[in-house]
Amino acid sequence: MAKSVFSNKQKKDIVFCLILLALPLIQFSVFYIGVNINSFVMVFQRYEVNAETGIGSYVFNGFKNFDTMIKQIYYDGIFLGALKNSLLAFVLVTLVGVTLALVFSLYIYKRMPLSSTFRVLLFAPSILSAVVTVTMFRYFVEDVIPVLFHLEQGLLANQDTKFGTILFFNVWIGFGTQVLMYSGAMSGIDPSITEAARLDGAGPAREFFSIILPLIFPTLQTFLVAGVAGLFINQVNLLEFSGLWSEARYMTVGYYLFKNAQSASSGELPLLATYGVSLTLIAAPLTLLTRKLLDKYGPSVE
Amino acid sequence: MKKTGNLKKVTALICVAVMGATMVGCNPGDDGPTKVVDQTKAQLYVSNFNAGAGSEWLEKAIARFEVDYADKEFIPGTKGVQVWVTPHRQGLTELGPKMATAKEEVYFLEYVPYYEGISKGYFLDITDMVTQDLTQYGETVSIEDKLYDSQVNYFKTPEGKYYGIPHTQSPTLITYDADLFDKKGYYFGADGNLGKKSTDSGLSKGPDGKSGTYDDGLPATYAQFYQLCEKMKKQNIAPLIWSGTYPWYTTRFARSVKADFEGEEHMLAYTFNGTATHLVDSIDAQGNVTYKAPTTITEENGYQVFSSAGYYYTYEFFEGIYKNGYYSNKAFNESTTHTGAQELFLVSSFTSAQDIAMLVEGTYWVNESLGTFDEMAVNIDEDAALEKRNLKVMPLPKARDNLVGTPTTYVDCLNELAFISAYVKEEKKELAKTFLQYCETQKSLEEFLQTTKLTRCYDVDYSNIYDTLCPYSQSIVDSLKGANYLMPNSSSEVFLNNYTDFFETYEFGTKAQANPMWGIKNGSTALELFETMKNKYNQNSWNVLLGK
Repeated sequence: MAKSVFSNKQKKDIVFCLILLALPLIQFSVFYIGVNINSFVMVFQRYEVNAETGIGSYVFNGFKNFDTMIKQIYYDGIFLGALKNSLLAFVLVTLVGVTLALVFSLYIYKRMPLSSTFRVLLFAPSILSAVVTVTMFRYFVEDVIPVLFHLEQGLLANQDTKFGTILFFNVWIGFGTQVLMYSGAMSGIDPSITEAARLDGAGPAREFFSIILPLIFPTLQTFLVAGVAGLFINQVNLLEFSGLWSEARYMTVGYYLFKNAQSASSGELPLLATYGVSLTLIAAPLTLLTRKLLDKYGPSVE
Repeated sequence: MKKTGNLKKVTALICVAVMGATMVGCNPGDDGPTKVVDQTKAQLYVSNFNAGAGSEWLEKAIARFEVDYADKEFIPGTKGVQVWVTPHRQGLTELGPKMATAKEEVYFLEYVPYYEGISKGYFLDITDMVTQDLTQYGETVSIEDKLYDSQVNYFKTPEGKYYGIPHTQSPTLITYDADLFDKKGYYFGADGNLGKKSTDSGLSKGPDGKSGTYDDGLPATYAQFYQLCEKMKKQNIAPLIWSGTYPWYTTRFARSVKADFEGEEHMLAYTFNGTATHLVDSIDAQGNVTYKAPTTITEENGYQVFSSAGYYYTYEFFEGIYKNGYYSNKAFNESTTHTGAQELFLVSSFTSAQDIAMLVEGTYWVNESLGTFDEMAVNIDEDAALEKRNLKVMPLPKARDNLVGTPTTYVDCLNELAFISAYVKEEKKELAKTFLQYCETQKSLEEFLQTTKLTRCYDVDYSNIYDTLCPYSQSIVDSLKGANYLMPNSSSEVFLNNYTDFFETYEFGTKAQANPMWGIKNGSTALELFETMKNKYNQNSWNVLLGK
């Protein structure tokens, strides 16, 4: 009788690992792989209702959905506006947000006055649900700000300030996680390195750009790459602010797709799947390119 | 080591205790801890959208049903029945894919695209139940007989089958504070001047153009409505309030205004099948509309219905309200939720805050506010209780003098539906049908109205219980009498294949603005909004929707 390759303990460990991994793997298979395969197939289908039975089914439609998508973008105009807003939100929220988060992180890292308090204050909104935070923010900008600054209407009620206010909210709400991550990365820097730099005559700016930034760059890079990857799914919390009834002028691509998918009939899903697959074809290489560029041109410890 | 082991045990025990605590009192439904499963009885499970109408009406119907059918053997080997309710706030989009494995058999839902549900095979054919006379309940009519004509057209498929029936009736209208109207003399006299009370003689005829009816003294036209609002404004009373957080409340109201103008023709924007007589040829600077010759609408030229004068008159009505400032300063505030607007309206008469005369809301709002009424009666004034408030639904004023007396048309805003799951077991079909039918008997419909203060969506007579109703419910019954009622949905292919796109359009949305009232607020004129709507589609863009 051949001896088993695995000991009893090893067998138990394997079973334990399998049990532990089974649920997430099944979930991933069904809700990611399965859904995406289904979406891809749907790109080449349309929904057809049988006139006699009244029952609908998906049938092959070739590349017609791409044709319809291009025509819809041309005639409708809403998607292009949403694309513009998505890019604007990315630039402002990512670049402004990252810059400010780095400044605050440095403040905390340097243990400046009230730095611990700032860390808690900035992180606190992140642990609340977005709906709660948006509700509080809404009351603040609609009921408090107009009283403080003698405005006729709130910042959200005023169409000229609404989108800017929403973008501000997104920058503010994004602080918590970023500050926590950056300051955490900064605290991992060996104090002897910064001390040596200071002894060599490096000022605060030189210390930041030549020592701190390169050392925390992998963390920063992760945020930037994730930001690019999420370019077309970022809905800038518009769903929490306006539900499914936002004005077209404030929509981002992420919101546009979510909103349409949320209320879509079976006949509309193939076209939405076509949008999704087309945007993936843009976002995926863009994300890889961003990572490559950051690897190549990002600050180096050397 | 021992300590660690003990700690684990204690932690595990705490976890079990916490989980156990959450399960105490759980039953098959959420009917509370007093009801337990009796296996000798047939079990029926009901899914109920627990929003505007709540679940109390259903619990009452269930209590009667269980007693009335205590000796009935629905399933061999059982005697009597138990019905369990699952309250939730999910629509067909969420529930549909789960129905095959769900325990619920009968559904009362909101936001149901009826024909989409049929095409997905979610609904059981209930034609026999709908067309059968309700003689066993002492009635001589069937459920079908209780439907409005337009509903028969909507619910009955081209093959002559029913897969669902209406649920609640929920048009979005204006509710007015009739006590305030009496106190301030906000009723019109026959001479066209304000200053009358509802009890005075010599009131104007109102929008229905008839004396001696429920709407006497109320504004008959937009012009009279503005006249009324102007007087309120001069007396520092805010004429109107609506939810600023959820602008679609005014969008739904816009839909009501448009439907009341167009009547049955409003459905062309969903069916794309019929003759349009209100298509605009031109509008002059004074707002006088010239119509095109009657036009046959098909799916091929369906985009033309978006040039209907109904849109223009609706925009014009809203423009008059906004530009003259006939609204509360909280109406556009994004922190004014729907319940917030209800509360502001209700408390304004009992506090030093500015009085608010009218509220734009779905007719279900009173049921949503029952808690507020009770709290106000306890904390502010006992006269603030619902039974003591004289709140009424206002019939919509007509766009022009020559339209006074034209029939009133209401349009549903929640796409509500009662149906039986197609996945119900064969042995339970009779039970499910009997229960759903039981909920549509005269007794059940009356009980629903008395409980929720709003009507189920059936054209029935409530004179038996009229005197027992609160003024608000009485006004709903009065205003619905003789009116037409439309369901904004259809089986049109172009509609079903572009539901979201039409949903936007139906909600008066264009690229420029999603909501007419906010569009006006943001600087557009009624004419500009109309032109935008009219030009949203042309033959080329329509062809994209047709899949060409």
